[in-house]
Amino acid sequence: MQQPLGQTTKMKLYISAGSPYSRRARIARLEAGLKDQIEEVNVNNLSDRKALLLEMGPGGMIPTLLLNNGTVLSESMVINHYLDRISAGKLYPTDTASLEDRYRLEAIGAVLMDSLHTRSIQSRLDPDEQSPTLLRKEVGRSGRCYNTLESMLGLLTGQTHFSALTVAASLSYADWRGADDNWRESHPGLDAWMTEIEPHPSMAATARPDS
Amino acid sequence: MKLYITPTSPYSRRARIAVLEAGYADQCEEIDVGPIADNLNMLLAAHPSGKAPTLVLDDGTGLSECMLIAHYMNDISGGKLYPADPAARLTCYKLEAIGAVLMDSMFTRSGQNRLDPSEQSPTIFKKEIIRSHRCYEALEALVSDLERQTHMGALTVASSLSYADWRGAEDKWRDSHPKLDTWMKTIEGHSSFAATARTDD
Repeated sequence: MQQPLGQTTKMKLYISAGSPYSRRARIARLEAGLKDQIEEVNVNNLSDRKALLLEMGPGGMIPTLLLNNGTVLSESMVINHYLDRISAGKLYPTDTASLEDRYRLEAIGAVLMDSLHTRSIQSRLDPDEQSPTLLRKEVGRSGRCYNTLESMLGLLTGQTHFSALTVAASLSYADWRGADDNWRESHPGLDAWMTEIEPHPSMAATARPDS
Repeated sequence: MKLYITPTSPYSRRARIAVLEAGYADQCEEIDVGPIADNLNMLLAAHPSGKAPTLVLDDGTGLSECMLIAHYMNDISGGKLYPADPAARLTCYKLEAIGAVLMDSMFTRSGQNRLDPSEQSPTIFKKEIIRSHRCYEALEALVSDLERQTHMGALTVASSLSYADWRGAEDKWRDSHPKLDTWMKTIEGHSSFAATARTDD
C-alpha cells in the first residue's frame, strides 16, 4: 500500500515504552525501514491518552497505528503484517518453508508474551481479585515456551530476522515481568542467543528505559 | 496437516474458517481435542501453548495463534483469505483487528466467569464488558465496510459476534445494533461460517 507521492503527513505509531506489544510494532517499523514515514508517539507523555486511544479504536490499547488517511490499525500482529505489505515484504520471506519456520517462532514468542502479560496483570490486581489458578497455569505455560525456544535454537542462532526479534522482545519482557522464572539460568543456549541479539539496532533502540 | 481444535472455541473457528477458505479441507484433518484437559499431552507434543487451535504441519511441528495460521493459509493458497488490492487489504486488517479485540475481550470475560468466585476479578470483568460494548459500537459504524465481504476480516468479526451471542448473551448486541445484526444474518449463510457453527446453535 504505497503512500501517494509527495505525502508529507507522517503515520503515527502510538506506543508505551514498557509494553512488549508496542515493542513488536516498533521493531517492525524499524525493520521495515519506515522510521522516517512513521512517527512514534509515547502515550505516557500525553495527558489525554485514554481519551485519544478510545477515539481511535474500541480496544483503547497500544500499539495503535494511525495512517495518513485516518485509518486506524490495532493489534501488533495486524500492524506488523500491514508494515510488511507497505515495505514490499521486508519483514517476512516469500518461500513457504522459511515462512513456516518464521511463523512458528513468532507464534511461540506471542504465546510467551501473552502468558507473561496475563501474569503481570494478575500480579498488579488487588490481592482479593487475583486468581492463583490462572497464575499457576500461566507460569507453567511460560516455562514450556522457554523450553521449546531452547530446543529451537537451530532456527534462532545467527538470525536477526523480524520473527527472531519478536521472540527476543518476549524474552526481554520475561527478564522484567517474569524475573522469578530466571529463564536465562536454566536455558543457557537461549541466553547466549539473546545476548547476541540484544545489541541489534532495532532491539537496542526499543529497549525499556530502565533495562 | 492436522488442525487441533475445540468445537466451541472462537479462535479455533477462525483457524477452521482459514483452512476452508484456503481450499485445504482435503489436505487438513480437523481433530477435536476437547476437553483440552483430557488431551493436553497430545497438544503439548505439538506446541508449548497447550491451546487450540494448533496447526500441525506435515513435519509434525505445530503452529499456533489463529492470526498466524490465517496468514499461513493465505500464503500457501496464493492469497485466498486477504484481498490483494491495497485499500481493500487495509480495510480487511482494520476489521480483523477489531474482531480480534472483541474476541479477546469476550474470552477474558468467559474465563473470569468460569473461575471460582473467590478468584474472580470484578475490575477486569468491568473493564472488558465496557470494551466489548465499544467494539459493537465501532462495528455498527463500520457495517458499510463489512457488507458483501467474506474475507478474513469479515469472518473474524462474524466469529467474534457469534461468540458474543453465546458467552456475552447478556450484552444483547443484536437488539442495540440493528445494522450489524442484519449483516450478521447474511454472513451466517456463508459456507465456511455455516460449516463451523457451534453445534448448540
